[in-house]
Amino acid sequence: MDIETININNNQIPYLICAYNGTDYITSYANDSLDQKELFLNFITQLKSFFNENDKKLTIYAHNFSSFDGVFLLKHLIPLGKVEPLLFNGKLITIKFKCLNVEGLEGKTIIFKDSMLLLPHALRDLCKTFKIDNPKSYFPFKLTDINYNGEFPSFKYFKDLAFKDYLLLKQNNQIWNFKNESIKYCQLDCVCLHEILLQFNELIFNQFNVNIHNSLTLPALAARIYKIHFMPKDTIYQLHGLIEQNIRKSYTGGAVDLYIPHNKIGNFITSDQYEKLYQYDANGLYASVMANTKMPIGKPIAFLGDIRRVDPEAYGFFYCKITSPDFMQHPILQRRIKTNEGIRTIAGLGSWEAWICSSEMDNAIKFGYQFNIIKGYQFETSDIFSEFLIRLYNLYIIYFININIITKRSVIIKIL
Amino acid sequence: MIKTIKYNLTENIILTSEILNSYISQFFNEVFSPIIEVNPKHLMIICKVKYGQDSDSGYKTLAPLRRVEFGDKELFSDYLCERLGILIDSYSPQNISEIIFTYIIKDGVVSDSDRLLLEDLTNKELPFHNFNKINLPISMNPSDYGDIRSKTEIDGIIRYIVESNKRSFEIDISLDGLTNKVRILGASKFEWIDIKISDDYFKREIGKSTLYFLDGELILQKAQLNAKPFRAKSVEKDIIKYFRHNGYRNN
Repeated sequence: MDIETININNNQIPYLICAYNGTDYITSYANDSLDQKELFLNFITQLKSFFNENDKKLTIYAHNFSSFDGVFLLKHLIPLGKVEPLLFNGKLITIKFKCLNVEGLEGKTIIFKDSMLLLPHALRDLCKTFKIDNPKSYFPFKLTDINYNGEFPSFKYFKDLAFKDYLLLKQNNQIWNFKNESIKYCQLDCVCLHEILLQFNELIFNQFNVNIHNSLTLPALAARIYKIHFMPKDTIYQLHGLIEQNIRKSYTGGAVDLYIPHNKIGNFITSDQYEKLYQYDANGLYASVMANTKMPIGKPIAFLGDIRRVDPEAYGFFYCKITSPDFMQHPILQRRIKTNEGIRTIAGLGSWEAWICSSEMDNAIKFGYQFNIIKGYQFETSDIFSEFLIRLYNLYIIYFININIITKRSVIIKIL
Repeated sequence: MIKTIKYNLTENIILTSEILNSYISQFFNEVFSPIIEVNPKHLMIICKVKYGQDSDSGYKTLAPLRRVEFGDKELFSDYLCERLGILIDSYSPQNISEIIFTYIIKDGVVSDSDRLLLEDLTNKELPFHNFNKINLPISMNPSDYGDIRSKTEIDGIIRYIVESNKRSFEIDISLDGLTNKVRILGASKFEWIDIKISDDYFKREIGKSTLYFLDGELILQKAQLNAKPFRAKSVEKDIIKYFRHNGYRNN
């Protein structure tokens, strides 16, 4: 499905809703007064044509549903039945709607999902990637007269359109009717999204025997694939409450260093001799670490005391008193501190207490940091991700060879 | 001001809980009762005993100094009697000639943080650790648990029955001396296993915890936490080509 809006006094007002099920369209167009209740009720009522007699549920995708379509839809669903929105970090992920008050749809369930959470790219890019026959077209979004009927709209009403492409469009559209063109545009978006989702599902199913529709997001899909095919039994445990909170405290986010690159030999100001300058771009660090590093597995063991006195190789998440060397130009351990302007992450010197992963601790010891382990959680370790990562990396290589399928490659990277 | 009340025992007798109780009552009635007639007061008090009649005989402090209110008489008696039991276990019984109360009068009542009468009943001569509110000796030596009442070799182990002032222990020691299985006899059925790692280093597996002791000091306590593993999901047999259906799960 897709919702089209016009901008009135800086407010986005829906005027058109379309949906496509592979064979048929649904179209709801607003009246002159832009009556929202009627617009949405008309759309929902028409959805019954998408149900076969025995069907109980229908899944509807909208691209960017979480941030756009869902926001408009939610309040109009509430009078019509039981609405169960699912939010994550304040963001609307999906809506489960059990229809109660629409004739012909009583007791039916409609699940609205965001396809952008599975394919986090613009629809236009996805059309290119999946080589859609009739790709997404262009529309003069800055035009706000929904009853417009006349010459092809001026270039100023379009955005993200090159002038040469505008001229081509204009050449093929001499007389232009807002309602007809917007419906055509919106329906085409729905067709594109439908085709993309079918193709993407086929791609994933052929590789992993997993349907994308059972996952709401790309990370959830990646986890599902992992759990079905690659996760060794009784290795990854569910951690909640205090232990989860404490382990999360050992993660402070990536460190960022700023450098001024130069390739002068000798003094930067006086030298006029240069050497070859290399630039390195490190990619796939998460995947690389997951594939090549032992990961914590098994039930956690809580401990009190210095575990390294008993087990010098103990792995886990430790709460320590940390003392940095007296001087380092670039301290490597970060800590999160409260300031008047919120939480800030700094990498300073001195002495403090914090949670830290033992791998990071062992690395810091090489740089002169000292640790007094007070308590923590110990884990066994094992290689649990390399098989999964190698399989995905091989897929990545396949798509890397063909530059035309850059978005597919990008999706594989995101699963990685 | 520090004050002292000394009770001379008429005969050179072995100190028992009953005798100690009677002198505590006498002290409370004769000394403490008049002090609290006007305003609430409490004492910082320590109790000592003198062995034998000679002037050069030794003194022994029954228990560390405590703050005591007048209403704490029974608590104070229990406290000293507990300590007396520990001392009798640790030292050969000797005749007592004097009981001495040394005290300071303080205004007001005892604060909660100072109300320690029921605590610290362990033998200060041996290192202990507290597990689930029970003080346990940090030792693999049966004699450190109390008096050895019996020693029997059965089925590849040596079984000791040991009694302290409060508890009886059954200690099964492997013939190589590396493993002790200890059980507190009685209703509690509390037990643990000590495993020797080196001469001054052993670990104690007790309940869900493992404790490590080095030179009589607890250096590490470990316990496995409960958690549920993620379960593998099933492969899906059929590809979904339609968005209407009779139900598939979301996650």
